[in-house]
Amino acid sequence: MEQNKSIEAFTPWKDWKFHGVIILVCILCELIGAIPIDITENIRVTLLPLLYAMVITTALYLFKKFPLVDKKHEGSASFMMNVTCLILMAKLGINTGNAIDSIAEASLPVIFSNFGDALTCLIALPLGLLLGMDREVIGLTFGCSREGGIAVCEGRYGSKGSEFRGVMGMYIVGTVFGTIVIGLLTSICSSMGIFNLSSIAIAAGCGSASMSSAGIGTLALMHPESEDMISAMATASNLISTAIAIYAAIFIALPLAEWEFKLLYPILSKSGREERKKAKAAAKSGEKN
Amino acid sequence: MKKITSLQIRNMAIGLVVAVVFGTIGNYVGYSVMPLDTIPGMLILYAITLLGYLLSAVMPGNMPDMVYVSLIGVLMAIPVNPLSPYVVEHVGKVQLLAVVTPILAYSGLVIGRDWGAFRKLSWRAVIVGIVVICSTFFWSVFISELLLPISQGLLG
Repeated sequence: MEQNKSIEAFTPWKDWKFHGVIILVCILCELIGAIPIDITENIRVTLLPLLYAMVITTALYLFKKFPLVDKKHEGSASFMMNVTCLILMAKLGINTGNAIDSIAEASLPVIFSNFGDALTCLIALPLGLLLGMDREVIGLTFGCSREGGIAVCEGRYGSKGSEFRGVMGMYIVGTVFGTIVIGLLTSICSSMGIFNLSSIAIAAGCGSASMSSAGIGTLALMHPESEDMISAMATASNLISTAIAIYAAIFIALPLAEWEFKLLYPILSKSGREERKKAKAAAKSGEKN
Repeated sequence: MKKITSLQIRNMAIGLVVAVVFGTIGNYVGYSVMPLDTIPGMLILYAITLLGYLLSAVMPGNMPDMVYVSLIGVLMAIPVNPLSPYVVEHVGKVQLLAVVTPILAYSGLVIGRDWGAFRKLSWRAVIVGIVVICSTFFWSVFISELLLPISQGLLG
């Protein structure tokens, strides 16, 4: 529904200046090009034009004196994001079709890594509790910044709960930092030279659409000869995950996170410890009476 | 069946032209592919996307348009399809990153809009979020390293 709204709100001739700014930003970023940074001898991080483009537009938006990128262009922007994502999907579909044989190979690892994703909250949830988070931590740690995770969380806890704030927080972190983190991780892993290129590509597809495109971009730049295989594996991983991650979240990750929260909240979280003390004191005074 | 109005179809068609122009320019500036070489591939992508969009409205079940677009793309390029070599050759000239950069340029506005909500969540969510992403990533790499040889063996 929201998507239909943004389609009707689209007025190309009215917002042409805004689109003009965006294309200028894109041209500028493409002219700068990819910047490889060698952290150590065999760990190379590649900054991509897509990253500068995101940073520049965010900065232009936050810079209030620049009226050409403003809240009133929100409709146009989300519509154009939608349209360009569709073009990207068509391009990725063609890459996938061209490398259909290697995708069949990817299906087994992708299914298992999705059910294993549920286990990541074993590490991240205690950390969140130690940092003083409340129930937000459930939404924050049960999945890896996926569009489907938001829907699952909304269905289970409603959109007003703190769990939902957590899942939205994760999505924002994923969009802003996830692209950088995935780019870093893929380039570090592939320059280490221990892992198969296809394994890294499968892992690059683990997050949201923008995260996996950052991963594909970085890997394809480092191994241009296998661009088709990389994007096929990562896209397959992303597509298969989209279908499976929802079930993995409902049946494994969320119940596990709930159970872990109940177990660890009184021990690790400051407010949880205080609550436990109060409850004990209340129980004691109850005994006395 | 979803209802789409002729206005929506028109806007989608125009929006796609804008996206195609963006991609063609990006392909020239960043990857030195001449616009005349890019255009056939871009037109193929344009047709696939519009067809997928229309199909999502006509077909039963409320499937998102992305599914249809990507599915048509796959069907156009699988080796069984006689058109496949032609499609793969032309679309191959369209650089992936030339298409992705505009998406993230537009997403900058959305991030700027949600900046307040994001700052409220503060550094703690960032740390935990990054730990989640890293552990998911490494788990996925390890599982793939373990299982890829097995599934390759099963298929081969």
